[in-house]
Amino acid sequence: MSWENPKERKITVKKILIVDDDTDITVLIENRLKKEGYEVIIANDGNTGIKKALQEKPDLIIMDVMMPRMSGGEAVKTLKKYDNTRYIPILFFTAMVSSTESNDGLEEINVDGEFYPALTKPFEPSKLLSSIKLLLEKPP
Amino acid sequence: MPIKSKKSPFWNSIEEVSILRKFAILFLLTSISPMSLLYYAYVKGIKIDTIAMILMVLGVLVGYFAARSLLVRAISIAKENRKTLEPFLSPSVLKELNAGENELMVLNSTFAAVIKQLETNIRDLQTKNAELQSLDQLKDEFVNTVSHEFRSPLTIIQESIRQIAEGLFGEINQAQMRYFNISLKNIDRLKALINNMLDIAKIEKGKFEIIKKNVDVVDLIRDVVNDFSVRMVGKNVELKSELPSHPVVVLADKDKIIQVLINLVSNAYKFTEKGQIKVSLREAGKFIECSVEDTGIGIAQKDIPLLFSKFHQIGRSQGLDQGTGLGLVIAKNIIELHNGQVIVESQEGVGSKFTITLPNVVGESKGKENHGEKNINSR
Repeated sequence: MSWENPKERKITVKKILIVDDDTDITVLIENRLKKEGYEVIIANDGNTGIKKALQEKPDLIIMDVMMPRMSGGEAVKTLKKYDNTRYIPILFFTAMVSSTESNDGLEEINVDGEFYPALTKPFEPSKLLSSIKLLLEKPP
Repeated sequence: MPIKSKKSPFWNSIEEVSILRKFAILFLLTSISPMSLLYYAYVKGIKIDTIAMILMVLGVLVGYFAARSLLVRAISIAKENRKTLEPFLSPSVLKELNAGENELMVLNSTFAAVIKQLETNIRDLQTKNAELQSLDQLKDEFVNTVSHEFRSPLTIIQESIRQIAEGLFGEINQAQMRYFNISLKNIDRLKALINNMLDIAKIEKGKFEIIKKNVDVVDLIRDVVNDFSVRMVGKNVELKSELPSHPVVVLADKDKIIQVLINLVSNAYKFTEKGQIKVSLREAGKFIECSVEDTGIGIAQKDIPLLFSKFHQIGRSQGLDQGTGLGLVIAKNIIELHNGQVIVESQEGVGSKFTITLPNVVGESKGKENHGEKNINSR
């Protein structure tokens, strides 16, 4: 049977928001994630990221740490203030060195005193996908 | 007591002292006159009224104490303003002032000089320390920034090429594939270089961390050997492994041990033209021993100690300069953080054998496995 209920399908397709000021990176991750069957939304700065997170309610946010104007940490702090976005899992994306501390298969980074799952650049696509999968399956 | 007046302290003190002296003399005289009157009366046998006698004795006492207090005050002023007053004071007064103070003064000035010197030294050290700290911070920031600036474009290049090579945007042919693979291989080298430099920076700062968990070394070696077998296709070298048939579990940092093994196997691979590379594992009492043995060019005895010094590359003269010369330094640090050893045996033209030892201990509690056990190198 090939008929599908479009509503049901919408539930199973996970929506991922990528917030990174580097458009080269966002387009490359978008390619990867789309190929894996995720729906991808892109924001190229912190403010747009917050706006899109509130509008689209993604299942996961990939957030760059170092961005001009608003850092990833500040953006996440704002997201934690809203009920709609408070529980969306965050995966930080960083080139900083101080982030390698593994815990249940995920790397971690300390952002403003709190630990978040993270990916270090240069990232392995397999690691990106496995981290996303882990976070999406994790109970909130 | 400093004297408050509009006049200069110099004239003030001179005046005050002289006035005080005059008054003191006056009081002394006033106390002497009733005393002499009393004496005269006593000698001549003249009877004196009791009240007059008491008054006279009081006069003597008041005179005496007034003179005394004025003199004490004059001396204290003289002491305070000694420098300015010195030329005007009589030698006897000066002598009195100086008595017993000379040695103290000498000691005092010596101490003052020593303290001053120490203070300058401390200040110097503080500025130098601050300079060094800011330099150190600058170096840290530099390493962080450089790694960031290198890693970001590297990620983009690597990912772009990968996506094309994987056919995300359409079929690619054999020739294209070959050059994509060459690009990717060299990106990997650049990546390894950056990672090695960061590791060395961490080791030098004493911030290199290992997180120990229970690891099956047999499993780990098998993974590394399998990974390498793929890369060695087409080369005249056989990669073999001699492993126990049962798991050998030790407490170690899995990723770091893999890093060491990859380093040892790729070194062997680099320096072996034909023959074999053998990775073996054996349990030897309190330790496990893992060896990587090759039939390569070998290392001269005199070069063995140089293996673990930074940026030293034995192969450079042979045109085999693929690497950073940091791999073995890092490997040695990793193994030593595990309380193990790296042992090198080699004969030129015959081959080399690198053996790493790790304590044969298993973490017991489940909790320990979760938290891991942290070791940080300290230097």
